[in-house]
Amino acid sequence: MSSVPPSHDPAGPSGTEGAGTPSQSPPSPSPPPASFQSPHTLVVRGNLQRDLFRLGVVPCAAVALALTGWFTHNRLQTLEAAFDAEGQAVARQVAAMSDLSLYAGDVPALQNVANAALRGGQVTRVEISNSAGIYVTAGPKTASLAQLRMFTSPVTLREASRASAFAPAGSTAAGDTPIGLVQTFRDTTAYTRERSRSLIAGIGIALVALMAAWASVRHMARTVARPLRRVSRTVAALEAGHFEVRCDVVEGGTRGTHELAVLAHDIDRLAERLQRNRQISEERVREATAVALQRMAEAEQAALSRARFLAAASHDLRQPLHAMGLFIDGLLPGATPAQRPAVLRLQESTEFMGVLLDDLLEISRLDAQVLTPAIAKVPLAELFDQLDAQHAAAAVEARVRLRWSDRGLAVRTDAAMLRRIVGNLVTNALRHAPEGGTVLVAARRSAGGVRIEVRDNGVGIAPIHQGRIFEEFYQVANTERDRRRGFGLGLAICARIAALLGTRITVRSALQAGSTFAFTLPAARLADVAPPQPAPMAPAPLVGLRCLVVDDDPAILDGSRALLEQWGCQVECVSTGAEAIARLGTGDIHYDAVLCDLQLAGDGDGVDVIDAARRLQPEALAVLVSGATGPEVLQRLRHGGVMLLTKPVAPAKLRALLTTRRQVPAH
Amino acid sequence: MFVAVISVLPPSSRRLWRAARSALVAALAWAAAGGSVAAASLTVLMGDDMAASSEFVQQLRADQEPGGRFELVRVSPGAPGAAQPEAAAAPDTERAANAGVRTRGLRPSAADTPLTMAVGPAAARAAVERPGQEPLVLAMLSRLEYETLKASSPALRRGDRRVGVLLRDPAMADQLALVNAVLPQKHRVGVVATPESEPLVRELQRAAQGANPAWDLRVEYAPDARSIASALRQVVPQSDALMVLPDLIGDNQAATLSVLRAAATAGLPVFGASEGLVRSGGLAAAVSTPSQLAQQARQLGQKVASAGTGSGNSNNAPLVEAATPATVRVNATVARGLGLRLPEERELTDRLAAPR
Repeated sequence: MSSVPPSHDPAGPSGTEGAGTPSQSPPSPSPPPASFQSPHTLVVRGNLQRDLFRLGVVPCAAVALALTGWFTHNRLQTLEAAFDAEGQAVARQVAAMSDLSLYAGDVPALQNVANAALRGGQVTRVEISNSAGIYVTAGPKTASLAQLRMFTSPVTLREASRASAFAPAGSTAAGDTPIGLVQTFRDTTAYTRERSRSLIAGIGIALVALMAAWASVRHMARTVARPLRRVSRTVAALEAGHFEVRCDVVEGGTRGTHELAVLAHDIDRLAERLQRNRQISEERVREATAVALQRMAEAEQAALSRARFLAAASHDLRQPLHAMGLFIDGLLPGATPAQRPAVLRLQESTEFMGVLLDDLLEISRLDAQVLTPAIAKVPLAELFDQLDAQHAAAAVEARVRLRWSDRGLAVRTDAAMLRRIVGNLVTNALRHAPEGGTVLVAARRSAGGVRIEVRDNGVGIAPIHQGRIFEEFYQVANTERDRRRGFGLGLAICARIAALLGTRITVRSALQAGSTFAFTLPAARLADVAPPQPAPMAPAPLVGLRCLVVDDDPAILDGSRALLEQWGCQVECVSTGAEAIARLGTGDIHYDAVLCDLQLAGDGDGVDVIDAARRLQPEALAVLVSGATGPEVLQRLRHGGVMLLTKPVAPAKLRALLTTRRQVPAH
Repeated sequence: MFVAVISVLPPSSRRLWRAARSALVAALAWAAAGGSVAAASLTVLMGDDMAASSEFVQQLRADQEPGGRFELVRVSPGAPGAAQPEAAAAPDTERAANAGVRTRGLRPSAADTPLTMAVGPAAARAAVERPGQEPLVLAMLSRLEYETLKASSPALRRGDRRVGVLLRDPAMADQLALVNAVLPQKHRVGVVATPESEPLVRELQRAAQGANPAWDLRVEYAPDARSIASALRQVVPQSDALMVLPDLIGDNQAATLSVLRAAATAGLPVFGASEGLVRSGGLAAAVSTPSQLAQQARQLGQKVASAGTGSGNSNNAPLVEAATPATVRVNATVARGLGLRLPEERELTDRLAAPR
């Protein structure tokens, strides 16, 4: 599933009205404007509701606590001041009323004053005294001193009022001198109770205020956070691809200025646009997919047709070519000296044709992707030795120095495929190296593993050709199509094998500066490499080897019989599968090898013969000989584990195969 | 003014009663001249129910001879008909007075010396306005009450009746003598007075000038008893002691307390004529008790009766006596506060009673 890439157009939704049309490509991501780039990452914790809650409750709590504390403190202070003021006022009043009586020593009058003060109820005890020994008290002395607070006022003779002021100027000193002392005592029980009540009331009011603030702010925070949460959920759903989701947040009033409602409305519009764009995009994708599928089907069909054509052509060409090769090999020993050069040219041409067919068959196999690399640890020294032995003669013949440098490295790859790549590249390099030149095959460690290079100091490849040298039948300097210089399929095969091995061949070349082909393979530790197989034994003679040849083509049957008998084998030929299975099932004759064509007369299938041979005579070497190169056939044979020789079979290859069979009984 | 008579005679006997009364007055004059005979018939007019008046009357009754007639007449102040002329009002007055009579003693006999004694200012006014020629003693009057009565009642100078007046306040000379006894080295006495106090001030000034050595008297007048601060500020710095006269200031508790405060603040002693003043912060006072005043009044009555019968004084001026101080009261606390060492009250009383 594909989706419309998000628009990064800073102009906003209104600036991308036509972006969804198929004719326009989506705008490329552009960096946000400088005003949107924050200098640092903003870290936020919690959630918005909690922030709003804190924003509302914390100031309310602070103000409520501060105000309550202040008012409670003031209230307590007022109570304290009132309590003290009353006690002090009574003391002062008693002092004012008792000044002259205390001066005159009028104890009854003082007692009356004290009793009168006591009757007011504000004080519980009054004491009037002076230094002359007058001591008048009123009120009980039983109350605990801890519950009493004492107020003292000195008794001075003073003017009663301004109107009756009598003190002459400068003679007020005597009036300031205390002539006695008044002490009043107040019971603090009621005051303490009132103080506690005020304190509790203050705390209660603070708690009520806090609770009210908490409830109010909680409600407001929810009111603000709910639409935001819905917007957030909507955005998340949009991000998940659910473009049909909407915020559904509308403003209760008609003014349309609530920011959250505006935000929700914008997001709904964005969702609508995204949904519309996705519908357009899906339509485009469906169309493109249909086109691609059609093209893929056409390509597959074309590839299939090509493979089928190659398979058919290969099969149909191999059959006569196979017979031709067998006959030429049979004619060569008996040819006259005058005929021999022609027979030899005939044989050479046949071999070229075989090589060409082999290359075509291999490309067909690679394209059919029926080859699976068998990955193993391959020591390069051994591989290079084999390749050196294979190409040394050609190098000598071309007068080119061939150098190998493995540096003791090993790689993890399919040894046969690697040998084929390097061999092709070396063949190619030998072909293009000048006389006296040098071809260097070197391996060295690189970042991705082991890099293998094949370098020559030839004429080089012009840059114009470097992009096409891996195409089939593309040759840079063989306009005359000299078949001895190859067919232009080597690099194409190398490129396909390299792709199978997970690497890619690169070429670095310049005119008159030589060329370097290189590829990289995963490295392997040399210690993990299995010890080399012992050298193959020398070919043993095939005399007496019993072979059963099954083919519906009489010419091939004759050619095969003549060749095999020439090697000293005992040959039996049958033309149908049923006959061959019958021969195998008799149990009288023990065959060393069964060579069977794939497509037999009628509905005969060579695979059935091979299966019967495996079942009835397990010791026999069952080989299927076929010119079919179709991918389905090849895959079927591979799954069946059938040994296959493709037509035209080179006599040497057949002989080598049979020789291995000959060696088995020797063990 | 409403006058109640405790005992009245039948109308047919009035002529006879007048003749007998003349004979009785002559006998009383004779007895008074002899100095050993108390009035046999005493009519007391009482105008208030104050404790001092009651004590005064009680002492009179206690001193009454067993055979003598004692008649108590209670005078209700503010009664209707008070402004009526005496001649027309007399029978009604006597009749109406029956309601308040409390008959106490013996019916008067022809041999008794009739004497009428009025207690308090209200009773004094009623007695003065009353018709009759029997001797009259007006007791328990302050100097100012007497002056007011004298100014408002011409009947006080009637020629056919002898009137004696016993003031309840000691004489100013006695007051100054007390000051001299308490503060022998001090001679500056300050007085705050109101215009109504002028008779008292004159008496005080006469007494001061007559003393040896003469007193340095400083008198300041206040407009009334509620505005004495300014006068106090003038007097206090120039005085060694303050004296409270029995005037509007002495009778006003707030004014008296102001004087006491001023004196206490300035460290001055205050002298007066009442025991309450001493209790409230005054240093000392020469005090006459109601009982002692009753005795002095009875003696004054004898004087008046004898003068009426014997000499036939044509002056018609009432015989005025000030109260003879019975005792001296001293506030020891105040004295201690002022740093004074005072003699005992009895010693001061003796000094005051000694002839000067």
